[in-house]
Amino acid sequence: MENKRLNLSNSQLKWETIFKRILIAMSVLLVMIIIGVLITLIKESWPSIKSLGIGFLWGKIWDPVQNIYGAYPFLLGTLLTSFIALIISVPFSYAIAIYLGEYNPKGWLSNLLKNTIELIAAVPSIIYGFWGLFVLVPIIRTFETKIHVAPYGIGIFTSSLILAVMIIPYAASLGITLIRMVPSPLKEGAYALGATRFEVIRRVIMPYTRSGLFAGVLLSLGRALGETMAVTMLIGNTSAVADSIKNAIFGPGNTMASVIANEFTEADHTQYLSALIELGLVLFFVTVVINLIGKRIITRFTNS
Amino acid sequence: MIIMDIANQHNQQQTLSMRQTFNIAGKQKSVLVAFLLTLFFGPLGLIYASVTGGIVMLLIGVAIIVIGKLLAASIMSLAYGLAIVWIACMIWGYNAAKQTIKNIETRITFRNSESILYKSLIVFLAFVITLPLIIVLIYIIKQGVTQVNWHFLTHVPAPVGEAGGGISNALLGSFIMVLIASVIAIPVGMLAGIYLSENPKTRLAYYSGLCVDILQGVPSIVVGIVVYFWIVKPLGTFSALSGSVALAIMMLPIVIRSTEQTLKMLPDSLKEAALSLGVPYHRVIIKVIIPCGFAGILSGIMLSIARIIGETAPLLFTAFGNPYVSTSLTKPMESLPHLIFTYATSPYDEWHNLAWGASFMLLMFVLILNIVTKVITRKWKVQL
Repeated sequence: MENKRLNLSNSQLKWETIFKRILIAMSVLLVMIIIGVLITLIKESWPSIKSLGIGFLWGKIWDPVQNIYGAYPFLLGTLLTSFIALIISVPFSYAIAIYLGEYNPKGWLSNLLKNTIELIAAVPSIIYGFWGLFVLVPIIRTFETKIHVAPYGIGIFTSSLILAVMIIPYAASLGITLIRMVPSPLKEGAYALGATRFEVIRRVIMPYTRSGLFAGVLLSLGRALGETMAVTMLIGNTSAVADSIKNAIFGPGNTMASVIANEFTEADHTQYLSALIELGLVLFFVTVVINLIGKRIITRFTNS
Repeated sequence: MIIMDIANQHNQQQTLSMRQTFNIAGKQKSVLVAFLLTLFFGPLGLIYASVTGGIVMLLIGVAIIVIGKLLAASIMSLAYGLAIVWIACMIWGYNAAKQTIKNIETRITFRNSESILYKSLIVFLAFVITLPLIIVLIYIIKQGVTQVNWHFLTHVPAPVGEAGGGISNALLGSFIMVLIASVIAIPVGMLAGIYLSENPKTRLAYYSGLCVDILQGVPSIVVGIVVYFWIVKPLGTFSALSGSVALAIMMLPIVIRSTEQTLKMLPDSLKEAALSLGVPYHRVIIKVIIPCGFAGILSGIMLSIARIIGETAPLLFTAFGNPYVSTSLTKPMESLPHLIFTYATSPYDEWHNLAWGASFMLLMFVLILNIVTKVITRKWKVQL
């Protein structure tokens, strides 16, 4: 009897150790995945890194046929689409954050709006791209004819518009949480001094949440930089650098993600393929750094 | 600390605005006049409200023109620079004129109306942004719902020029790949999440937490590239398996974070009570901790499925696509989002219709998953 019980507890003990080891193994696996991603990207893009060096980043010509590779058109395209999208989306995300965080934090209307905003993030990007291609592009084309630029329809501006809608939820939902965290004594103090609601928002809530809201914008930016499908369908896929600001904004272009999506399966020689992967590596680094900074700011904000 | 900072800031601003009031308040200026003047004359109009402001803005404007000429910038970029100066002038003029209002009553009315105006602007912006979503949803449903029938769900796409055809290959493919991705990602994600919530202070937890953050930010296209080199290249062919692995990697961070967050919220007493009864650790986790946090973990899993079911970018170089029904894991496989991508960018109307139908199905899956998750979180009062 005694022996049997001892055996049982021994086997339980064995299982306990195994279980703990599995837990550790899974966490190690995560670290391995990230290291693996990094090693794979660097290894596969090594031919390009070695032969093109750092000049790859500002080479203005991308011509796989002549074997000339420069990332400048795609860096420019990525930055332009992301920043135009950010400029359009920030007022909306702030408005949502302030409305749902301060003016109307409870009740059915607030719930409805919050769920709707979350749905914006849930709709797959391919659907935004498809819709944009068939509905938004003709509208933009008419608009472009009116303001006298070449009416492509597709292009940087169109993709930025769709991107702007897609990234709003990221900054907005973080903003809502942060604005609700503002201690009410601060707000009440300001009201007691005779401040209006606008003044409370501008002088108390905004300074208090500024770093957090900025982190939300960073997370949005990270999304915008890496977004592939909707942009690929709407941007027009030209690797040439536009000659004027007007053409750079309204004309077709290419982002790092879209050029990879379009040309990866067509890349027929090592140099071409590794140049594309180097673009992926740059994209990886940029998004990871932006995301980590954003996360760091949020952690610091919520802990203090 | 922050409270002190803000209090200080507030004080400074207060004293600043008081000083301004006393210094400049010699003559009351109309806000409307200041606004109109700056609107039409920019820096010159600003001189009415604030002489210093006008001079500063004039100097900045001149500087922009001079620098622009030196750099030989285009007329357009000069215009953008000047437009920014113009807007700055309008804001400055408005604020400066606001400070000069002497009558307390007028000031209060002014501040109140400012507050109301601001609120209406916020409400307008917050609600207007739901419009694009509603328009997209209605459009997809309108275009897609007429396509969906039994034939559509059970047949493969018709070749070019033939009417009819369906998306059975994509439906089956998406189902298989999401299923395999879940089989891979859910156990790994849950176990890693349990580790993170149980040992939050260890060095390993710090690094794997960092890795979850990184993984969350990795662009999906990069995941596609990496899995291409991990699985597609060694096997020598695009395969459903590689697609599933790519999707599993996309799924991991959401499952891990939701498991971790849910378990961290459970009271320690639950675990301690079970342990004090002599229950071994792994049984405490499996029999007590996981059932208690089940709703939270489940909603995290469903959200992650809703996320990956619409992912296209990682599948472009892994599962690739296949016009026929395939159940082999080592062969290319079609998926809903990939089918939408190929057929939406094709030049044929029949194929567009097919893509609308597929979009409708995809949208329905995503919406249903999201709504069910909402219901779960509300019913079990989970905070995600």
